[in-house]
Amino acid sequence: MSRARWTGRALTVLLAIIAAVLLARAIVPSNPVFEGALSPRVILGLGTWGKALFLLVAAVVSSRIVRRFEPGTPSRTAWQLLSAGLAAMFLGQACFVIYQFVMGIEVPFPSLADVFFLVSYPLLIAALVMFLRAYSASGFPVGPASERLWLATGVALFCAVAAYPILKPLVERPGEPLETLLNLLYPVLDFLLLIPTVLLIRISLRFRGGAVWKVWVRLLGGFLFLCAADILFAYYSQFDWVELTDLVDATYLLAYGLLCLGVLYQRDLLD
Amino acid sequence: MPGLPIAATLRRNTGEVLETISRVLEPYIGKLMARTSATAHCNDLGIRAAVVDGQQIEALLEKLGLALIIFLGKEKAATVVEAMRRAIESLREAS
Repeated sequence: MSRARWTGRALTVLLAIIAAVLLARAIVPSNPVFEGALSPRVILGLGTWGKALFLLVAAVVSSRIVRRFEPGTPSRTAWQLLSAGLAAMFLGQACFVIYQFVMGIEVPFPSLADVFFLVSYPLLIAALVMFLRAYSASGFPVGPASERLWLATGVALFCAVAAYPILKPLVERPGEPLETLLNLLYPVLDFLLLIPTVLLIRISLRFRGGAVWKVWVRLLGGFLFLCAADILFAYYSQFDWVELTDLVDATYLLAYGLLCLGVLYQRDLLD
Repeated sequence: MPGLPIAATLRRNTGEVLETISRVLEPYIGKLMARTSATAHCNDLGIRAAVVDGQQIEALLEKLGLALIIFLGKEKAATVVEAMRRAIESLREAS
């Protein structure tokens, strides 16, 4: 068994355990176990360090994947952008680790972490667009361009319609200007991310059953969870819905975990 | 694609070649894509006869190899193409 596959399996188990703990506390926060062994500090550590670990592995492994593609090939550029996006996300998450476990303070919002997270989005969106272009031109029958056009239009319309009820409460009850701006910006960037994600899901469906499908089902699952997590976070932050804390954490954890597993499966595919 | 090319004089049953290519590709790109891509590239190359020669097979493998590079990188794609080449060579001669 390759090192990437072994690491992938170990991290899958870790992801399942941490996500289960976070979701359990989101559902039954009053359970005595969350006052004892799984104290709030332990839960915070599991979530923050877990997310940092998944992003670190994803950033490092994806940078190694880049080298396996020839210079000048569209896949190489796509992997470079994805790797840079994941590295920026890791730096954002590393800021959380420093705030919470080195400085021992609550993470302010906005903070330095948001600079890295905001930088990551254009990189991730550009990466997915590059993957889309590369896969469309690969020579494999991935469907007609017209299908991608109507699907992209459909998703854009859906996002525009869905954005209204989701973003309206955030605008109607504004907090600090920068905080409100970021709470609006993250979901908007997620909607932009969603368009190439859905198109790549459509293409990936044609590869189901193969190793390429296993890579993309995880990567794209990660992006979908990221969209959901950012929307939940916007509500949590804007309306102080503290009861969403664990759900937000679990959703981000699943997003980063799936991105990490997708990258590891791609590494295994190249061995 | 690097690797010793199939001899131009080699003759194989088209159906068996496509079946073999699909079998090698399946673990990477799935059963459906393996079958449709092999058939689509075969049609693109104008291969319609029941028997294909070595040159046509090499052209087919070249096209599939270029497509695989996008997903697997040059090194791994070359390994997969080589596996297809060897599997096709081991098929019985077309009558």
